[in-house]
Amino acid sequence: MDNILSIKYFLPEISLIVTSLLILPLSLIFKTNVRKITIPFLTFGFILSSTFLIMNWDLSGHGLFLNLIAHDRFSQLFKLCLLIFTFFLFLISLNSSELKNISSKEYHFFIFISLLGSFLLVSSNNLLMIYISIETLSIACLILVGYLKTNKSSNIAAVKNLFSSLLSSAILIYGLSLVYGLTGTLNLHEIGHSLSNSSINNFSITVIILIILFGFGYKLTIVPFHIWSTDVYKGATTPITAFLTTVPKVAGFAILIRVLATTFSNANFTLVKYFHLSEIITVLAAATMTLGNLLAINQKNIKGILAYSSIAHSGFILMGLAIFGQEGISASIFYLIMYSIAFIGVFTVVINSNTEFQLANLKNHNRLNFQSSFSTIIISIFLISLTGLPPTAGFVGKFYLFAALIKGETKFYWLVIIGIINCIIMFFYHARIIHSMLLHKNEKHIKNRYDKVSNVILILLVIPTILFGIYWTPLFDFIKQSLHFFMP
Amino acid sequence: MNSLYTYLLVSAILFCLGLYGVTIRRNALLILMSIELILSSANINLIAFSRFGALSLDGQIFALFAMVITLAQAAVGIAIILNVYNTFRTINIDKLDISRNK
Repeated sequence: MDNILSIKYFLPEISLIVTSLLILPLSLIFKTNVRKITIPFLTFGFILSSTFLIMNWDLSGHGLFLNLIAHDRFSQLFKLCLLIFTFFLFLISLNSSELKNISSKEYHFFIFISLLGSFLLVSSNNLLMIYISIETLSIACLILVGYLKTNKSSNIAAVKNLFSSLLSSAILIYGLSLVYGLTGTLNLHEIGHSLSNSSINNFSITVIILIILFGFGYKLTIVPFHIWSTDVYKGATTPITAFLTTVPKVAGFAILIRVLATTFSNANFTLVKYFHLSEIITVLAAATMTLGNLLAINQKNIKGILAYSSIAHSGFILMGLAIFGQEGISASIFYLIMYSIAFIGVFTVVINSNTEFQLANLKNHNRLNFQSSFSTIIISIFLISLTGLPPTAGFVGKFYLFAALIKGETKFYWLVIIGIINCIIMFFYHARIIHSMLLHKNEKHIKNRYDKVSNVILILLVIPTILFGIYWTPLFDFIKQSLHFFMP
Repeated sequence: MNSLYTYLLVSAILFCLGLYGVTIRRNALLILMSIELILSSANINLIAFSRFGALSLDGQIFALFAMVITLAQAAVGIAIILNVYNTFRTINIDKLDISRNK
């Protein structure tokens, strides 16, 4: 499709760009009462973008801008999810005490830019587009992590994030250049075509795949990179940690699925055998969830536990990609969405409880500020969903992942056993959070800062967690039907 | 001399030097420079493949985009390093410590 026609399908992104560019001059013009102007304006931006997205919802695939960007069911599903998640994260960040005293207009600007980057990332169909959108996402995240300029832990996290993210993107572009050299094209589908037709040494392709996984690895927090990402998660301010554990990760998994589906698999989503992709991903998945879980046991504060827990969940999501096939991918996407909902929910409670709690030792029970039984019940539901116990959506996600591993042609019984052992470990440290909330009364009475908005958000997040745990078929079928990739 | 392999060799050497620099340097600016070396090795690769390999300009366009993005990264990176210097009075990454005073 040529450039003029593609603009119609590009309107969600355009409205994000326009909103984010207008927010800076607007906040300069209205110096007094900035929040009263910017918050409705940004909400309007979100609503505008989602309206365009739903208005142009299209079941057939298009290639926008000379096939640089794919507009298909897969990218639309992920765009909708990312938009909703970012909107919730935007609303809960308004209530954060850490961001209260500083100017927040650039914060919202960078949230919008990273949302734009992830929009482009989930729909990119070209190596150049993948590189540009990953960079848009990660440069915005670099600034977000170092947003509190005078805070020491935020500064250290920013430096760590800077070097690990720059290094991974440098290695990613080196791998992409080698792919370009081998195949002579940048289009994902054509790359797959020429890789399967040519007589290139399989070993060298496996090495290049490893280099590219290294580039994606930091976004997905798979195993060699967990050291860097947990430091960043722990050091950044809590609303930004909530953002980093959900939005870039969802976008990163989306592009990994797209690359695997369009380049390295055939029409039935069966991974090609001769590059050892399946073996590589199984090993990575097993290592990621085991290491993430084992390191989470020793963590003392809630942000540390959640950081390592998020890594362990990456391992679970990778498990479905190892088997691939329609079952595997849709189980992974279901799990990814449920994981993000539960994580946003947990972080909403953490942000709304007092700041000290976020950094406090879990045993230091004086500091805990869960006065209302409402938040205790809500956070328990999310943690149960993350652990994967019925009747929550996390159980359904894990069930489908394990079922996909056993159902396929090659059966991964050993991975299922490792996964179940990991569920038990995960139960232990998630239960520790609930335990410390239920059994330790807090003595200090700090004013509860819950407002109506965060209560509504929490209820909106609990509903899908419970509902899809009981009646999951519509969502699962919707995800299955969304596995439709545009291939020119 | 003027063949694809010469360029690939140069780029591979640059890549290794960059990785070596990232692992041994402790000064934040020098690490940033080492990462730039890796990026330029990728650019050399892209341009050489485009020139000698398939007859398309995709690689050269990719290299142009990559250069611009590298500049943006370097700008943000130097801003973060400057900010760290203001907070900690050092840019040696081993000496960054939360308990350290100004």
